[in-house]
Amino acid sequence: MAELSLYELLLAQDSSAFDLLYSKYYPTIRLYVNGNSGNDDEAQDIFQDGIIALWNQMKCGKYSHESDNKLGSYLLTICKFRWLERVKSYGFRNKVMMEQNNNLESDDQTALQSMIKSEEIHHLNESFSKLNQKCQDILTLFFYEQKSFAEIAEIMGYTERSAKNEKYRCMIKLKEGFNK
Amino acid sequence: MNFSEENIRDYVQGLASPELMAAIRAEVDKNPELKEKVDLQTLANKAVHISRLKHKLDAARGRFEENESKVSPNTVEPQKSRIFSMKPLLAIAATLLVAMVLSIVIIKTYTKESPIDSYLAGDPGLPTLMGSHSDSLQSAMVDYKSGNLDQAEVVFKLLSEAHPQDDTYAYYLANIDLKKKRYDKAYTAFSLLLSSQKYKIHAQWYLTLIDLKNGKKPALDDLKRIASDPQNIYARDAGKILDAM
Repeated sequence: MAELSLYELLLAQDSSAFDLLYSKYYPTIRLYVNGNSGNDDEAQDIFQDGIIALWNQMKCGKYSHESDNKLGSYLLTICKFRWLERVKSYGFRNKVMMEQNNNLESDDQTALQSMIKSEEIHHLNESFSKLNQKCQDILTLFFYEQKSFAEIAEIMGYTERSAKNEKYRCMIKLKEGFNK
Repeated sequence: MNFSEENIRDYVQGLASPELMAAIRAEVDKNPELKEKVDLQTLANKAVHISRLKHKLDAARGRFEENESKVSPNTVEPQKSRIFSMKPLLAIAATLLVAMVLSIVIIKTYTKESPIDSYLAGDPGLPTLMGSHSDSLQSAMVDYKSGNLDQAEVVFKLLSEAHPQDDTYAYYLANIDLKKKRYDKAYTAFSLLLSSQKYKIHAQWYLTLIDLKNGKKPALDDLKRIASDPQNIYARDAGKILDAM
């Protein structure tokens, strides 16, 4: 069987893809963030947000894959812009960093778009984590585990009808939280 | 037409049959109720997948930190085990080095190229532990030496921005420009390195080569100056180019 590329592994949310991304690219981001007024925790946040934004772009078909190396470069660029934006929002502007940011290449522009989207993703993730555990479970069973309502009803001790109602109620709660 | 919740989920996830995909796509524009259901499921589907992704990333972070602590310099007897584990790698590296040198000799013997061109290929790079990605410079250097220049360029740029006082990154970025035959960009980059204590000699060398490539006559004098300076590490190479010319 042919070896799966990092792109394919990441798309499938395979754990080995995350391990590879961490070992290969995280040290660079950590150095970058630490060298530009940040710390390890912030580097972690930036790196994870970057991967989520990249994955989202891949899922939506907005990232056109050429090679795994290109994917790595793209991830690093997303993280870089995300950190620059955060520094800007903190108010401790670093003149050199901002000047560098003004000179964007076309690849960087795409990464920047992706970074902007990642704000929305971050907010969506937050809204989901604020749902109660039952809601998180039922939505995960339906959308991630691909279970039918009959199976969900059996797992969670509902009737099929109440499983449907509960899932609807949870989706509305999620939407309200997201639109706040 | 009525679609079940599972039908809509499969549509949102792109897993429905082509017929079902087409049927929902056709209906969704004219049926606001269906559109609302699709939008709601799209949002929930995205939220669930992102949440799962976040969990997996947290787990990967844990594994990374665990591995990192295992290889930290505080581990007991790290030197001994490192020396032994490096032996086969060094042997492989030495074999590859010999093979590389032989290939270069053969290529140089049998291909006719301008004497300047081979030197314009840029700096060969710093020694690396084969396949190592243990730190960013190592990782970028592995990419640089194996020809993954796009990848190396991004990492060197980030490192250079994080540590502007270290000229090493700017030097290798200039070399990447050279390797990519972006001579104008390389020229500017090497010119900036003329003020670097560590890379001044290298910058002068590559600037002279670019000038020669561009047919600038004063460059020949620069080349002669380099060749006649026994302290200059490029004196021999400069002499070879002059002989070939």
